[in-house]
Amino acid sequence: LDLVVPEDDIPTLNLNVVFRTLTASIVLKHIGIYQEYLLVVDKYRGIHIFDNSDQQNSMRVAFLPIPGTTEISIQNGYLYTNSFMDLVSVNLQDIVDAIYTSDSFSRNQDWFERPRIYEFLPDQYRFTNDYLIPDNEENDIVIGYVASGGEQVIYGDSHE
Amino acid sequence: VEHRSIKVYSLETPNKPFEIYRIDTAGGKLETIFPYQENLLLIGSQEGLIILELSETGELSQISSVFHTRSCDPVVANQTQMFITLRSDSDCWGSTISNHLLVYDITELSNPVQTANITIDKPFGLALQDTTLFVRYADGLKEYDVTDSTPILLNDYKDLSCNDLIANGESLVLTGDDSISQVVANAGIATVLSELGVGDCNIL
Repeated sequence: LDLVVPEDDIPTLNLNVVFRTLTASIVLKHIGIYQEYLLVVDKYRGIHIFDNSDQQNSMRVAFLPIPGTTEISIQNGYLYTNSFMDLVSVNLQDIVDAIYTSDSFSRNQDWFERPRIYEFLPDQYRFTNDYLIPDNEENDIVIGYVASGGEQVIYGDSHE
Repeated sequence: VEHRSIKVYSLETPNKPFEIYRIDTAGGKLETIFPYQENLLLIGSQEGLIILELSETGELSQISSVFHTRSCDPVVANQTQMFITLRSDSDCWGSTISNHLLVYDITELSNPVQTANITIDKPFGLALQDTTLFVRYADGLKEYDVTDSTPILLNDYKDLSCNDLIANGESLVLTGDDSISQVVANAGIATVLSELGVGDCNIL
């Protein structure tokens, strides 16, 4: 998994694009605060980081594509989040100081329970018979879905 | 927090946490975690709330718990009071009709005492700002004075709908389905500082 943070260039991550193409599962929910920065979980996709030093003019400074993320916790300058079964930690101070390297990111594999397949279904399917999809493929994990209309949604692809 | 267990990780090496303790919990599926004071956790489940103490060596022990009807229930707390919202909707398996704000006196942690029970339409998130409690509900955001054991409704901001909210100093950060807004809600007037979302996101 690559972590995308802007260097000189601006990442091609525009919330407009995300919303237009992936409306089916966008859920902005969990929020964290680190110093003057606001962190927002884009459910299953990643984490937006906004410079919030001017609350009337917040600016997104980075997007961390972390497939499967649903919640965040911030402790001693580090961001901790889940990525499906993995625990991911990100050194936020490195991002703030613009000295981010691959060492600033770590993925600890298989720390959490396997998510149930139904947890990753789009909301409109969660309480239908599709809920009963067999979940016995020990080596498989749901990473997205294809809607009946043909729309394909892969979790975590919003940085494409 | 897993479905029915809580794991404790050491952050001695910040980017390489390791598990040091695990406790299984009784009752419903665990949902929310609220760190409280120096060494306590308030854990909301679909059937109740558990108060846990963290030892210096990282072990968790249960101090007390309260049980309620089956529903979703975020929690926040101040020095003496704990606030839980109960919501029943399609997100909560098997939830019964239950939409309430519950207040507990937790001066004595081993014996939480319910002091108020207010019916509120589909409450979602809640946030504390000093002696003010904000509750996001079906039609907007309610503001309560929680100085005393019974919350007093101060204002009802019907325009402010959101999924969840947190307090950030003087302002509130609200998340909606497709936007994030920062708001100062005071004396019945909500001032939107900024709204990040479709068409409005400033990119550096």
